[in-house]
Amino acid sequence: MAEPVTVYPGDRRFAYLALAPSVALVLMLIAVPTVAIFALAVQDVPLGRYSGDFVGLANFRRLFADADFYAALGNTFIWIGGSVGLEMLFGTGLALLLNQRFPLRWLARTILLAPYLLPTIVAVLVWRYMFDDIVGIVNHIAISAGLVARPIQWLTSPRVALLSVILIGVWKFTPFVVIAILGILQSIPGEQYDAAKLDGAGPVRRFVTITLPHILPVFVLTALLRTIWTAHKFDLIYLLTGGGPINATTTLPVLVYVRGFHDFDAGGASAIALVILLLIALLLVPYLLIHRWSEARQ
Amino acid sequence: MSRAFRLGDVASDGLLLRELSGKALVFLTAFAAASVVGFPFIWMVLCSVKMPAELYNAPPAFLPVDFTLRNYADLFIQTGFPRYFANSLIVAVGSTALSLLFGAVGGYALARFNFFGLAIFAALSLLCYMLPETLVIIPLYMLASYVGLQDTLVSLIAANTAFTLPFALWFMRAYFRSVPASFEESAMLDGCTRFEAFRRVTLPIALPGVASVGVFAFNNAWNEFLFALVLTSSERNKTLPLGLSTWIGQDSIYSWGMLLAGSTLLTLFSMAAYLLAQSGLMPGIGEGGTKG
Amino acid sequence: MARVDIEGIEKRFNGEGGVHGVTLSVQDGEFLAILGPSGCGKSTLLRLIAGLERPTAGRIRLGGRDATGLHPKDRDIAMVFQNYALYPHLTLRENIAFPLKVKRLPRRAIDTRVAEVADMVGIGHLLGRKPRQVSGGERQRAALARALVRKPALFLLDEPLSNLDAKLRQAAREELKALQRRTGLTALYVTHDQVEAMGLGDRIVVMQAGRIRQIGTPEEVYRFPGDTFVATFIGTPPMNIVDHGDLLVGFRPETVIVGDAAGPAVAFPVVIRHVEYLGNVNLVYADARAPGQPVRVVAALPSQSAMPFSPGQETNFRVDAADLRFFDKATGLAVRDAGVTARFVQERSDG
Repeated sequence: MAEPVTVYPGDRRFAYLALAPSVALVLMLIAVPTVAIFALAVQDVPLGRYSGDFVGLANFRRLFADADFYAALGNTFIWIGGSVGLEMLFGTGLALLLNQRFPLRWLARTILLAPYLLPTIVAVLVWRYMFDDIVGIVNHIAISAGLVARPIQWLTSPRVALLSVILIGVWKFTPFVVIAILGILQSIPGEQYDAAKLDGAGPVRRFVTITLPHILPVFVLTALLRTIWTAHKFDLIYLLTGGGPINATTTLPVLVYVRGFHDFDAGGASAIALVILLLIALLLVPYLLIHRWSEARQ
Repeated sequence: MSRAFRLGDVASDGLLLRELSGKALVFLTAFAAASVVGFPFIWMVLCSVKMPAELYNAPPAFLPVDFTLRNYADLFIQTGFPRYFANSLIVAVGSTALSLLFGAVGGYALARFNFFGLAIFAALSLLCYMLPETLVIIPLYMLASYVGLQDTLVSLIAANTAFTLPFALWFMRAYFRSVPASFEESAMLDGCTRFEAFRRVTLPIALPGVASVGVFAFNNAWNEFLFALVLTSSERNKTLPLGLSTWIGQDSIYSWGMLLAGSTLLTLFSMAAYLLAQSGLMPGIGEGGTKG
Repeated sequence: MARVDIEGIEKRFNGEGGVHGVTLSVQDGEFLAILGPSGCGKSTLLRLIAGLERPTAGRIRLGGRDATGLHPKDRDIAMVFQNYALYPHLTLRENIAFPLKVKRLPRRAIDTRVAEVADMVGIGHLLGRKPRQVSGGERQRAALARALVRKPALFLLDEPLSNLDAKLRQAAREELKALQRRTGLTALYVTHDQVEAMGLGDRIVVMQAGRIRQIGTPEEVYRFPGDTFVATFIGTPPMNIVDHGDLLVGFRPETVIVGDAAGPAVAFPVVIRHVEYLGNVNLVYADARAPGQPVRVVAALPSQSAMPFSPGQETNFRVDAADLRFFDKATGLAVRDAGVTARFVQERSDG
């Protein structure tokens, strides 16, 4: 891909100077801090100090005996699985829909993609108001339609809150999937469908033999990207529920924040951060493998 | 794409009918989905012009009983909205500018050279791109307080820039690789140093890529919440997400009205910014110059 | 001073396109055409002179000064790229003004000079347009103007006409020649098109596989090819080559005579295969008898003359002894020895 480019006098200096600020920022603010959590995780460091007593694996022993940690771990998997599953389902469906021709398609597309452009804080404010137990429009509609008898505590009941947060996340992030899948759908040459039609293939058969194999690599890659980003998510959850009620919506990133900045336990928070790092590493392996596979396929 | 409705495709009236009812089904499904997805926007705008007390009516009425802009006035008078907005703008513009500057020259160096260490750094920054902000928030907080940058907008700009750079570097690297080297070779024969050739020729040609990175960087910083939450504390340094979030449930019963007014304004701003980024700025690459 | 001296230049690549031990001098004011098939290293040679490639070994002197390690910007060389490399974000005016702007010349001086050069190549009315808004031929002129504008010591042109269609190419070639005569510029011109090389070059350098096969005026290269490669690469159709013991005997298709020869002549017994009518000439394809396989030879005969041949007919292709060329069979190199000619004529004389 890259043409071999000749090196001229002064190029070496130029290259190192050009990269110096990036190297400094990335090393100082991402790479070194990432290494630092290894050191912090084996110390008893209260927030506000830079180091503490070496405690070996005590932070981890405490963590693995902590019910909150297992709750957060479970929530994280439900949050990721629920969000990514629904986003892929709705996203692919909407992309197939928007790939058809119908009147006012541009309008439908604009509306369906709009939530992605919205600042997270706006989504949070609007949905918190709409999901309010008493004055919220959602309960009002649900009760008027006879779907429920009493108001549902969408964001304040431990049994429903995580589902509500997932639904809001799906509303906000499904457009990403739509854009990705729609892009690949529009790259399928039309002659393939025409040829299949001439061969007498019905819509279902055309979908299975042409559409599906074509979008599969992008579908899998998008699902993995969404998985990684969903696992990272902090702001949406924290702003909607603060991780509550009780621990109902506390995922691992939220738990890091709570341990560090509510409990002032920098060592304990770093131990959780390391668990996150491990999970990301586990996610990255399939990501890289599938990335290579899909590049090879295209 | 190719399933365009063409009369010639249709063998008989029965098929035509089936095709038409299929279209109708597609249309109805699409607009049912659009109504559900779009409803929060409508509700936000409607409620932002209701009287503050009306927002606490149960059950709510769909249309405003009395139209009012009081919520907007309250937003500006009671909350620090203008200051939040200004702070967000400073942070977003600052980190976007730095990401573009460092990302463009750095991405160019990664695209064109293979000196010792460059490939290692490229791999490292790809890895960093995969790391969540929560992972390093504790060490970052310590670092900020150690160097005395706690509760400053500078710390936010630095953090946002650092977390945007890996993407910016990789994106620009790919983009510069698609710009033929003959342009800058020609520029150097015309008397340019490597940097001049980059600044006068390669960079302007890669402007659409730069614009994409700019949109990404701005959006990132504009939305960023965790760094703001951890690295700033005083009212005068709050950005929009942090500032507005402190007003949730601060009842003072009337806060929903102000918050929905603020949401509406932010939505309008986002749309305007998006349209601005989409129009202009985007001539195709390599037009005219490369292929005869 | 625009003298160029290249000494034993060497550039190795993984694939083809390298340059191997090329030594070459270009005189001030000379228009030198570098001709060769694609992948022969001719473009690489040009890029080495420009400083766009670094040589693996050897030196390059520009105006007597060692320029081997010099940055391209310090060489005072202008180059017209095959794809023109016009900056797509700038208008033609800004493109042409670019080298002067980089030099920080005063605005007024730049404007005057740009207008002058643009008029010289005939694109004065297009200066406000972007490269994508003008035709291929106009882009080629703009690229030429950008090279001319700062009066460089040396011009390098890398197949500048290859992206034009045939008719335009013909006109552009004439203009280029006129321009060169008027400005007296020193130029190296890379092409794979022998017509361009013959028409434009004061001298032609024929390259193959990274090496120089022959340097000479167009006439020398055509009439006295240095080896069998040059003999068969230049000329359409190429020189006929027939086996003769340790030697290869060559003759140009147009030297074949049907009637009586003026001086001593040699006859090649052939069997006619087919005849192509090309308007001004007829190409007569035939198989020459040779040890082992028969060899395909071609004669180009004026089409006005009577055409006595029909397919299958056995006849003689007669060639004037002065038009015969001899090559060593082992090395392919030309053998210029009156004795060889005399002996061959004696052996094969039909008189």
